[in-house]
Amino acid sequence: MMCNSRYRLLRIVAKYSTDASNTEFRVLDLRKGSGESAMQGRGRFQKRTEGGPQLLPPRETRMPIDQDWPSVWPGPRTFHPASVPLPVRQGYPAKDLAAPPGKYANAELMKIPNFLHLTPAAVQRHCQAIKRFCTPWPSKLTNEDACDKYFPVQTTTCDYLHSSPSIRDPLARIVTLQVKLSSLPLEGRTRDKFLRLVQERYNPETDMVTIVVDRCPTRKQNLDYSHFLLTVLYHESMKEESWEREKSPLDNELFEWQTSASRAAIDSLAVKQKLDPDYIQHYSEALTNLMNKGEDQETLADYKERALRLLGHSRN
Amino acid sequence: MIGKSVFRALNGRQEFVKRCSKIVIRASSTVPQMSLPLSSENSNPLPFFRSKQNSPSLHGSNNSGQFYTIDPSIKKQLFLYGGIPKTYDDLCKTFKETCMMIREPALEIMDYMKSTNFNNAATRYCLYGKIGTGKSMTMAHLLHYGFENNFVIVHVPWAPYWYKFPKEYSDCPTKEGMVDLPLDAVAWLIHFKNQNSHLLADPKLSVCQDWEWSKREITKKGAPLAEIVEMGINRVKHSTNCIEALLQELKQLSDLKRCKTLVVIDGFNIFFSDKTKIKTAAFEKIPPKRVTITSPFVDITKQDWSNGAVIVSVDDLAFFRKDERNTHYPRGLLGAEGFEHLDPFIPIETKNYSEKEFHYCIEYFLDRRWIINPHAASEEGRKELAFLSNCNPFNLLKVTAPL
Repeated sequence: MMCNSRYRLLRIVAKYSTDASNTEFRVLDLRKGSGESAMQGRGRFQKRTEGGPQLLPPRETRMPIDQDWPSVWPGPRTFHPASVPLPVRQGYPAKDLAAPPGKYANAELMKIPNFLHLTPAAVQRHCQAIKRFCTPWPSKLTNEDACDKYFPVQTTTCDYLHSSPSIRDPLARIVTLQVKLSSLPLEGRTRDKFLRLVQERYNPETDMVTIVVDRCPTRKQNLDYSHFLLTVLYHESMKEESWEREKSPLDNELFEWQTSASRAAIDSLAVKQKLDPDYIQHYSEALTNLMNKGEDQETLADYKERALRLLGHSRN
Repeated sequence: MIGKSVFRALNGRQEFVKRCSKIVIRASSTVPQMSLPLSSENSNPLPFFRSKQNSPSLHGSNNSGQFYTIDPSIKKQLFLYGGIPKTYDDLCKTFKETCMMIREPALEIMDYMKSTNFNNAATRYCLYGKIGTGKSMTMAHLLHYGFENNFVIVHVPWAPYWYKFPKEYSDCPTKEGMVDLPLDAVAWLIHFKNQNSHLLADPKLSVCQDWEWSKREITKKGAPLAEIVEMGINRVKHSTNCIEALLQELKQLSDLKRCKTLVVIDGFNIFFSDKTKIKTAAFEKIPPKRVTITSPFVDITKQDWSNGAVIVSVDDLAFFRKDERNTHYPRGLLGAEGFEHLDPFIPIETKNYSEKEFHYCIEYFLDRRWIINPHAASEEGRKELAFLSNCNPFNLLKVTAPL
């Protein structure tokens, strides 16, 4: 049905385009038997006119290519197929092999947001308009790393708008503070303590500490609290308590050769028999790798090879 | 009978043959079943899967994959109280010979032992591998090697037996909180005596210090080592103390170069587990470290003595089924404590059969008539067996059993 109406519209376009001027008014004729319909059926069993009343051709067919698009679509607007000169298709076809439905009377296209009001040209115009209120971009911030270096702390907040009696949203108070651990001067014991305090808020893959604060009613309070938290975390990590020295090898996250029982065993062995210090070094590396990386063919084979060399065994 | 057959032959030869064959069959049923030819009786040159060398000291990589025979008298001395896994032992009874495959892990350890500097501390070798790959069999092979080279053998066939199926347990009278396994200790001493009977007569093996068992029973310094063994066997009360004394003496004697000791313990990881079936008199379940028999064997696997070797195996089967750790690697099975005790050691892996070993094994089974099904001997059949068993020695045994 729609196809037919399209063909009909094209025929009308053809008719109109041959006219001298496009600004001719259409003549409104409400009589049943007039116009083209008069040509078709007669009598009681007249055929219903196809496609309904005569329509103007869609605007998109008359749009020049070099038109000013931001003027055509100045603001966010529901998709209007006749105003968009693009053969857009959206949705699942009724039959498997058919093309997706076209843009006319396509509810899916109308439901989704479109950004036709934010084409590069439009954005450039916005920027030009705002430019006189802006300061220049800092010259030293040429890449991501420079941004991280000079602005290590990132604060994220979210604003919500409501078209209801109240414009407030309780979620607007949430503040997320993100900082890279490498930008803080922590290492060894202090870094370990910091990570224990921060726990799952640290992502080892991105090296980011993320602190989400929502305990206060206003955003400003949460922001201040997040800054306070960061300060406290850092200073607490730097402090060393007396009970921290009670940390035993059992509490270590990774195997440490220096404090291990294996090292003591090798040392006591070295008293009785000659052990090459190079071989001890290699052996300790293999053992550390085995313990930290986990046991598998590779690490065990490595350990075996170095143990053999250390203990002075070889195959003929 | 014969006349009739001749007459029939004129009419149809087939019937003659049938009659004759019937006579033959009937005749053989009265003769006793022919026994499998033993390899030692075979006057023909040995098949390729058998090794001429029956002495482990002379085994080399050229013998890899071949089967060698253990003399019945040696088997009786070494393995009477355990050492060869029961399934394989039954197989040996079926085959009427004890043959073992010479495999890479055993050859490797023997190589190391041949080139060891025995002035250095005793090296610990840890055998590990998936279930059924031949850890216990390798240990049996090495036991034979040690026996041939006059090592004093300290052998625990399967340590978990003590903790899972103890013969009898009682609270230790001398040590607080510990539990004795007196009968198991006596059994082990008998096993030790049996394995080392030829060496215990050596006058060099004499006690280095006085050992006091009770007010009236003392073993003086200079007495033969066999006296401690006898004391332990006869006086059940002192059996565990005797084991402790014996193993300490062996360490000292080895240091003094009066003997060399080979310690072989199967299922070593049980010593560092935390469960047993043993209970105190107050019905409290205890871990292995509170059992008196554990400490002497853990002690002898330390590296504070020289002139010997320690071969230990770790197996997931050593644990109770509920506590199994589903790993075959030594660190996982020994745990932190066990690994720290054994470190540094040489981990030796036992693997599934290689193509050559698999081929030799199938040939051996065919030779011994373990596999009778003709399809199994074919190329396709072997591939099927290799796939079904994944070339795992134990699985191959099970898979070929019905054939």
